[in-house]
Parts: sequence; structure tokens; C-alpha cells
Amino acid sequence: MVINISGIASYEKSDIFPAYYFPETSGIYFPGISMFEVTTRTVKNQYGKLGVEIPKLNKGLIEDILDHLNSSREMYLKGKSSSEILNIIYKNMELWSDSSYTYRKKAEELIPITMGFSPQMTRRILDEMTGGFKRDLSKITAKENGIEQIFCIPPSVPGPQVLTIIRGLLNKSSVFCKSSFDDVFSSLYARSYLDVDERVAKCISVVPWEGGKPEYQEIENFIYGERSKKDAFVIFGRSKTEEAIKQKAKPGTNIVSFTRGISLGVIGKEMLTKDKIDYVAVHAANAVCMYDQRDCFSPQLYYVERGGEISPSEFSEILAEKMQNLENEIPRGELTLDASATIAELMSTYQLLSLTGNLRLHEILNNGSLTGAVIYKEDQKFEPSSSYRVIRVKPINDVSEVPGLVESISDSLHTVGVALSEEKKNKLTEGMKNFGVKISPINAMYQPSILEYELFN
Amino acid sequence: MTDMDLLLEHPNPFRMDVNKMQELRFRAIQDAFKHHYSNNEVYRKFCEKYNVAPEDIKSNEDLLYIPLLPSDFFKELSISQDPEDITKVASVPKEQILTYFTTSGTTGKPSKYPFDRQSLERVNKSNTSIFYNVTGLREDDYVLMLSPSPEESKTGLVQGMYRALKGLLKNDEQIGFAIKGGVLDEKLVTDMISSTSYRPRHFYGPPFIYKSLADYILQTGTKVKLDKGSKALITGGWKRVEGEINRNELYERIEKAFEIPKVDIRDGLGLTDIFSIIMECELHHKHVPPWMHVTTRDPKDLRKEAELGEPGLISFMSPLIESYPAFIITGDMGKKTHEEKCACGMNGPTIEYLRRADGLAARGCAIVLDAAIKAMRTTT
Repeated sequence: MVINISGIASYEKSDIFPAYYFPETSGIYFPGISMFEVTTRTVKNQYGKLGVEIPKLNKGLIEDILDHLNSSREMYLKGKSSSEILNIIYKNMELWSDSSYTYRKKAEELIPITMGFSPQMTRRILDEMTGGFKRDLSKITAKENGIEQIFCIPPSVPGPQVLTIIRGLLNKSSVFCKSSFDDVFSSLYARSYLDVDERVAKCISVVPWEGGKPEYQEIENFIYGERSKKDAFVIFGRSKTEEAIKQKAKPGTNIVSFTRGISLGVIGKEMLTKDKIDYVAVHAANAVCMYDQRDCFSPQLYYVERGGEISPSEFSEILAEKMQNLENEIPRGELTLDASATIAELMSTYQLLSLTGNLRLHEILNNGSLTGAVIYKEDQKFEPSSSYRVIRVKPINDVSEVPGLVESISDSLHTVGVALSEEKKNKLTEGMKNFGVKISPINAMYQPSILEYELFN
Repeated sequence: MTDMDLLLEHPNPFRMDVNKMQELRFRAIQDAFKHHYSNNEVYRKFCEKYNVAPEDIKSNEDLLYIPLLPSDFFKELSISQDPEDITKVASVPKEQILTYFTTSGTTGKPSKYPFDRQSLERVNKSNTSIFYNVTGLREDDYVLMLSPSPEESKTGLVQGMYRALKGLLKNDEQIGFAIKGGVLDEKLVTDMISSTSYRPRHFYGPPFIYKSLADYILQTGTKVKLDKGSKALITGGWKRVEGEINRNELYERIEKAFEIPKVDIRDGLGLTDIFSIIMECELHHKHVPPWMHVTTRDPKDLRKEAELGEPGLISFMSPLIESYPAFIITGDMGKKTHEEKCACGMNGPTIEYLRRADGLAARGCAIVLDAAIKAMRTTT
């Protein structure tokens, strides 16, 4: 099928949505991308069915897109002041805060089908994200560093693409976002700039393809291998794409990698009192359940100090109660077939190990099905979780033990969420000063911040 | 004779009547379930958790309700600090346990499995029958195992195959081993295969050793012409050659180096948790032996079987083993390719391995499990 690029309105009531966004270029200033072919790929799960439109890519089309992004940047973005750009971004974020906004409604409809989050979780993610980002935008100071074009490789969750587009625009860079076939949110978010400033919207493109596949080799060689010093890659997560970029990029190419993906929590005995436990456990549960524990800031283990009014083992039980409440309120989403397989195997293993006395298992259920678990084990060894709301709890005698317990994975550590006295927090920060890890209050660890994602120094 | 024995002693088990096969297998598994439920406290509690007792298993369809033990459970118990932990999985008294077999532990954590004499004998007999009936090995053949000898390795791949061959071949000298002291000496291997007088001569081993041998032969121009009916039997280890060579390329290289036609290159699916193997017929379909119940389960509901041809988690039940519940759910995705009859003439289901289920890291930016474990290994 050959189609002309059309406006978003045509998709409003459609059961098809494009995973790409190439801005309309019928303007008089430069030749644009007018015609290209698309195929439709059907995705379906318990939340519905969607035809995801995928463009047929070739080097010529990519060259057109990049030329177009460059020209748009020169013409529309470069001349704008930082406050003008900030204003555009803020307006856009305000639109997204409104649950009746067309794109937001579409995102609430499509994220569950494509990314597998439950509708309740989708709303929560969008609420938290827009609320947090709006707060951040009021504090941000824009800096330019000469990077003209940013190539963003986000994972398949909402957030990283938003952060990069915002940071990119503030830097007066155009943004080329490589998305995947199960991500229509990137396309939705990029398109929403049409509602605040059509010209700025021309500085963003979203292009989906399956990284590493032989049919995309020529394109990847071109995109990854032929960048200049005015371009930069922003990579989230560890993937074949990251490997391909690092392999193909010219020496000296700007690459910003957010590849740390393990987070954990540390809870001090002073917080394990009857009057504080509810607050701590609710936030600890939130941190696990938000994004179905698929994000880099999702904790995979809680180290809990012994000697409090409430023991680490009792804490694991209370945490499970809070996670159960969250399951009722914002259920875990749908797993892919392979993730279901791995989780099924793991859950049976934990159930059996609880019967052999090797661990204590608290199950989280939804209509009789296991949808999460808290695993309490007496040993202190760091063990990663499986994601999808499975958290380990292990006892420690003192927070000073934690740096030594996670030293071997310090390169992969993203966030340490803490519920600690100021004194202990400082002690932990000092102990982890060489790890390059973010120490965050436990109630904030699941809220990404634009302020922390400074792409370039 | 028990139903299990009737199956195992059948003169032509892979061609017996499908209904009879199902009936005997059902009763053998029903008996095995009763045995494990009655003699294994941990397994009984696990069944109670799922509200399943022996009296609930009344028909072939009910077999789907028998709770399955994940492969990882054995792994976790095997690495436990407490050496007594592994005995918690046993359904026979400790004093009856003759030996513990291990998996190869390529992922860093070998698993241990307790075996009593009867289970061991049955497993050996089963494997012998599989190699005789499915791959056509006979008592005068020679098999070069592309592995260490059983004295050098306790893994199921080596122990299982060696014991199966011992039950099939006339003499010990009809079995050779390609790896000595952990070293593969390609020249020695080609000398061994050339010097034996037994015919036909076969190979058995993992893909990476085939690759190494084939490369040596092709590069040095060594002449290794095998016999009509010689077979290259492949087991496990495809992951190790991933990215280096695909299945077709390896088959072509084996064909070229050993002059074994593709029809005689037979892949096997190693069921490492029960020390059995499922081998391919000449049409390259992997035949489930009549005494085993192999299903592919819907990962979203393990009590449901995936449709024929659709991917699911490979699970198997073996009534051969009394020493632990050999009712296993693996972490591997596969699909059934036939339910009752294959065009090769053999009866019973056939199965195809697809991949290791690996869906956790793909949908987010968290690093989970494998990646984290790798990260931990590289830094410790």
C-alpha cells in the first residue's frame, strides 16, 4: 500500500495506528517525504486488538527524514529562545495532563494493547509522568551544547522517549526516535506536538524497526555508522541496538547510555515502627508495582534492617498486603507469552522452595491467578528479581553492609530507594560514592525526573 | 507385569496401537503420581496447594492437572548450602539412593537428581529402546561419543548415553570417547573412527564438537568416509554455536566432512531433568517414547495444553523414575508437530524445540535475571 502522510484525526476512531511519525512536509521550503509504503501488523491481547502500521524503510527514506529534521531544526528551532521552547513543551505537557485530550485518550486505549500495561496502570503512569514533568519544567534551565540531532533508542515503556524529546528540544536538537513494533506511544507523543506548534513538531521523527535484523542492516549501517560530531545517540537499556550502535559508530561519536537497570531498596530499623510502617510499606509496594516493575528504577530487592519494632520477615508480610491492595487497584498488566512462561516456572519454583523451608513466599493474587510475590530469604546475597511484581526481601544487621553486598553489580545499579534516618542515608551514600548510583527517598524512586536526565554536560 | 513394564518391554513400542499406548501410559503415570504423592512430603504439599490428589486423576485429560516441578527447583536445591536439601525432593528413602546425576550446568548452576536402582535401570532401558527404535542403532555398531568418558563426567549427557549404549551394543570396545582429560584431539578422533572394525560407525555429541571436528577434517583434508547407515546423532548445546553457525550450515558441514547424508543427521532433544532424550526419525521429527507424556502448556495457564503446532512450555511426565517426581515443567518453548502418527510410520506425538523462554527483559529497561546474573559473574 502506498499512502500519503495524513493527519492524526484520521486515526481517532480507527483500529489502526502508526508506530511511526514523519512530519508532513508539503511546505514550500524544501522537498519532503511525501509518499512511502506501510504494512500493518496486528497485535492483540486481553485489552484489545490493534493494527500497527509500520513503514517500509529504505536508505533513501531515512536520508529524507534526516535532511528534513535538519532543515526543520535550522528553520524553526534554532531561532527560538529557550523560554519559547520551554513554553511549547509545557503546553504540550498540560494537554497530556488532561484525560480528555485526544492523544491522551488514544494513549490510554493503545498502551494496554501494545505495551501490556493494565488500563489502570496506564492512567497512573500518564498521571505521574505528566504531573512530575510539569513540576520539573518549572525548575529546568535549558543549555545548548552544539548537538544538532539526537538519535534516541527508548525501551518499550512510556517515559524515556518523552524525556529525550523534551531534553532534545530544549537543547535545540532535532530528535530521531527509533521505536519498536510494540510501541505506538512514541509516535503518539511526537504527534501531539502538532497541537502546540506544528513547526516544532517537524523537528521530531519516530521510526520503528526491528534492531539487528538482516533486512535493516543497510539502514543501521547508515544511521549508526555515518553520524558526525554534531549528532548524538541516547540509549536506554541494554539491547542488541546498543551493541550495534557501539559496533558501527565512528570513533568519537557522542553516545549517552542509560544502561544501568538494577535498583533496590534499603529500609532502616528506625522506620520499622508501628506508626511509620504503613507509610514505608505503601511506598515500597508502589515502587515495585509501578510500571509492573519493568523500569530501571523498579526495585528488585529490599534490604531490611533487623532490630526494629517490626522484623524484616514481618515487613515482607506487610509489603505483600500493600502489594495486594495495589493489585486490586492497579492490576498487573498482561505478560507476553515468553514472560508468562518464565514467570510460571519461577513462581512454581518459589512455591516449592517455600514448602522445603528454603524461603517464605507471600503470593499476590488476582482472581485466583498469581500476579506477584514477595519472597523472604534469610541470606543476604543480592539476587535479581524477575520483574512483573516479584520482589525479594532480605535482612541485614546494619545499612553499612549494603555497599559490600552489591559491589559486584555496582556498574548496573540505577537507584537505591531508601527509608532511612538522615544519618544512615549519609552513611550509605558515602559507602556507595564510587558506584555512580542515585540514592532516592523510597517514595520518589518510581518518579523519573527530567532534571536528572541531563543528556550532555 | 506393571503397565510401565508392558510399555517398556513391548517388542515394537513406537508402532503399537495408539489407543493401547495411551491407555498403558495413562495407568503408568497414574501409578507414578500415587507413588510420589504418598512418598514425597514436599510434593504432596505442593499438590495440596493445587487441590489435586490421586483420586482426581481419572482420565488422560486429567493428566494436565498433575502439578509439575520446574527445572529450576532442582537447580535451587542443588546449590543450597545444606547438602541435605536435595534429599527433600526424593520419593524413596535416602538409603535407596544409589547415585546423584547432574546436568552439565552450562548456565553455571548444575542440578542434581537422586536415582535409585530401579529408576536407573528403567531409564537405561528407555534410552536403549529410543536409540534402537528411532535412530536404528544395532548391536554390532560402533558409537564414538563426542564427550568425555563416564569416569570423567557425571553429566546426564554422558552417563545416560553410555548406559543406553551398554544396553544395546555387544562389547565395551564398541564405544569410544572423543574427549580425554578435557581435551578434544581431532586427529586422535579421526584415527579412532578409522581403526575400529565395527560397522556402521556413528557419532553422538553436541553441535560445537561436530563443528570443531568437521572444521578440522575439512581444513586438513583428512579423509573420513563412514559407512552406509552411519549416523551423526546430535544432542543439546546449540546455544554454544549460536551466532557462529546455524543448523543448516552445520548439517552441510557434517555432510561434507563425514559424508553422512542429511537424512542420517539426527538431532535429539535432551530432557536433562529425567536423563532421557527424544530423537528424530528420518523425517526429522522428534518422537516422544510411548511411556512418556510430553505436552506443551499454555504459559498463561499451565493446566491447559497449547494447540497442536502452537508454542507452549515443554513439560514431560516420566513414570520411569520412582526416586523423585519426574513431572517436569521446563523453561523451554516448543510445539507438538504430530499428535498420533508420523509419516515415518511410528506412532505417538512428535515435538519440536523452539527456544528458551526469554521474555522478561524485552519489555522495559530493567535488567533482570540473566543479564544481572551475567553482570554479577563478570565482576566476581
